Amino acid sequence: MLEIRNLCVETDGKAILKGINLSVKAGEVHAIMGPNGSGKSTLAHILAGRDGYEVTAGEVIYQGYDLLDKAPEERARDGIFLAFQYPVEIPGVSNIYLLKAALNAVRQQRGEDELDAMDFMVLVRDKLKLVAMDEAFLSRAVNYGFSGGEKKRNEILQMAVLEPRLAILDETDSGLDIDALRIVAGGVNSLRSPERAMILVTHYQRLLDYIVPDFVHVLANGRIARSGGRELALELEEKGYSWIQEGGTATAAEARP
Amino acid sequence: MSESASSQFVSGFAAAQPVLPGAAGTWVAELRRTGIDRFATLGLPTTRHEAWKYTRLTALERRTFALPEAAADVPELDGVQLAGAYRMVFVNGRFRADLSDIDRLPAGARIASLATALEEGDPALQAVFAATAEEEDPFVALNTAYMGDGVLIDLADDCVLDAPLQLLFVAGAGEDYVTHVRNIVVAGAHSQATLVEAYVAPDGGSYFTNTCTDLSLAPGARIDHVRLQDEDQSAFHIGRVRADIGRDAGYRSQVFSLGAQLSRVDINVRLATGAECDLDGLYLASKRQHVDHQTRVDHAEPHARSSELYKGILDDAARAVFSGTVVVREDAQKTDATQMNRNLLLSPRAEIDTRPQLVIYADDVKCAHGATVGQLDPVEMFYLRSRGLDEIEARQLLIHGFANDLVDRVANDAVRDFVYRRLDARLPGRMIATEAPA
Repeated sequence: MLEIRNLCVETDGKAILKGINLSVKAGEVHAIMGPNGSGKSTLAHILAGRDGYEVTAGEVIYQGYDLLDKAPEERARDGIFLAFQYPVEIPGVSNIYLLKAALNAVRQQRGEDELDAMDFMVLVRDKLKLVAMDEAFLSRAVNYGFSGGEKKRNEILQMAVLEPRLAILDETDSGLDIDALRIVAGGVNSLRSPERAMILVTHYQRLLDYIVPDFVHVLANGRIARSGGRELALELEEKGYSWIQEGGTATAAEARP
Repeated sequence: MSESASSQFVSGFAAAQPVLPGAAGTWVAELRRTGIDRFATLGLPTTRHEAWKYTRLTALERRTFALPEAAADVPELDGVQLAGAYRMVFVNGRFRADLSDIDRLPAGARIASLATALEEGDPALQAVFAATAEEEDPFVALNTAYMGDGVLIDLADDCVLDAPLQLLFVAGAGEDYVTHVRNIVVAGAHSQATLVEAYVAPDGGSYFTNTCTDLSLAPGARIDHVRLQDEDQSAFHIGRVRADIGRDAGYRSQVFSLGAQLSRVDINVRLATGAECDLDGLYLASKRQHVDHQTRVDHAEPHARSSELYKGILDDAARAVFSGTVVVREDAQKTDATQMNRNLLLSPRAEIDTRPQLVIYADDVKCAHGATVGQLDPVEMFYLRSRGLDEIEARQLLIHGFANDLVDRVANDAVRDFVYRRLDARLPGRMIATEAPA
């Protein structure tokens, strides 16, 4: 589904990603871990199409085409979803309006008709349950005045409604208390499917207790320093990121099982 | 050299007076004479006047405007009428009973055409005018000289108007005319009303509206005042609102300025002990429109509260001015005042001059003010696009969101819906389609 080959990215003349290789297949859940400043969030943003980054080498192939040429909305319509680390507040725009506009954009791309108001509400009510959100959230302005946990749940709600092929979750666990984390993780787990791939970007192993990944990659200094299975996260938890950074192992992506 | 607007107003007064409401020899005629003399002394302001520094009246000054012919035709009112409301309709500045609906008013509410009251030389009205000090504002002086019609609202103590009252000023057919509209609102103790003052131009035309609304609220009165300026894009609009808010009374002003090539609205509010006022404003301007708002809140006595939020959306080569002053007098302890002006600039050629000011003489007060000027936030744009909205949809949604915030604050459902519809007609096409690069 997604092939990242030797991806090198700069911002303001500073190299952030220095040759990332990653292959993600449908049905897989990949966790990308790493210390602050390792380039994890940059990778997530690049995949979603945020500007301000310069790709100096490498390529990203999604569904067989070059993803980096596409505008953010084209990527979204073709099934890429980024759950933001800091969901953006948009005063004056209701949650329900955005959900509907986004869903219709995606459905149009898929060659489906717009949902009528009734069917849309049935769908949204169903998805609200996944993230234990009250219907009152729908009429509130997008993320405006939401607590940290509410914002993250709102991201998962959008994801559940849009049903992406490739979901990228950027630090979705940060700032959540354990109850909110359980709800968010429950929502994500219910969206796991053989057709869908997920990339979890996280600093902490804690999230992976709730969303168990198939693969774990450790990003350090703009490179994947190590890849492995679930147990790599546990090892990291025990030894800390300094273990990777000091070890400087060159096994990198080849270690992929 | 052709005559300027201001000299024509002075020289044309003698000829015009016989057709203006209020017979010769009455207090009305005397009042008009005072007005024109005052206007002749003051003249039209120039950019040398501090309050007019950023608004040049040259385009107005080099035109001449005639008083409008009485119009008997029925303009297209679909879409501008407020549902479920009392209605006073004025076409080209003249009251039209045939288009209005003020039947079944509750007891204690008197709503009449100002022209009629002036014709009758209404002594209550005389008292209202007598209470005003010598006029410093040339447009009000001019208005006093030429006032043709408007509404007189007199609410007895405890009178509650059970539905909004729409004051609908319609620019009918014709060009190069001026209407001098004067509205007088006298709200008795604990009376309550929602007023929707709307200026619309379904048929277009290049004309000049010079309007002044004076409100006086007795203790405990509550007035919600929505003011919608949706004039033709080639029109001139000068508006004044002067509100004297009595003890523990409340005034809520919500201004939406959408049309006119040049518009200027001055709002002056004086607050007595324990009174409160909320001033909201939204202005849109595109192409070469110029829009200017000046507000002044005078905390004359203690324990009053005021809040103010003005927002602007400017596209193309539009220019806007906001100047807001909050004065807290020496005796006005425990004042609570906030003031904010936010501007969204959609084009590099759009321009805003904003000047929020606090003038505080008391020492035990809570006051805050500020202004922001910015473009659409690239992070918000990216967020919406990452959800599948294209660039145009995302822009449109953010612009609507910026505006909706203020529309949402309109309390009455029908009024809010009315404002939404007028705003919507102005927002999407006009504001989104940016001009092709030069």
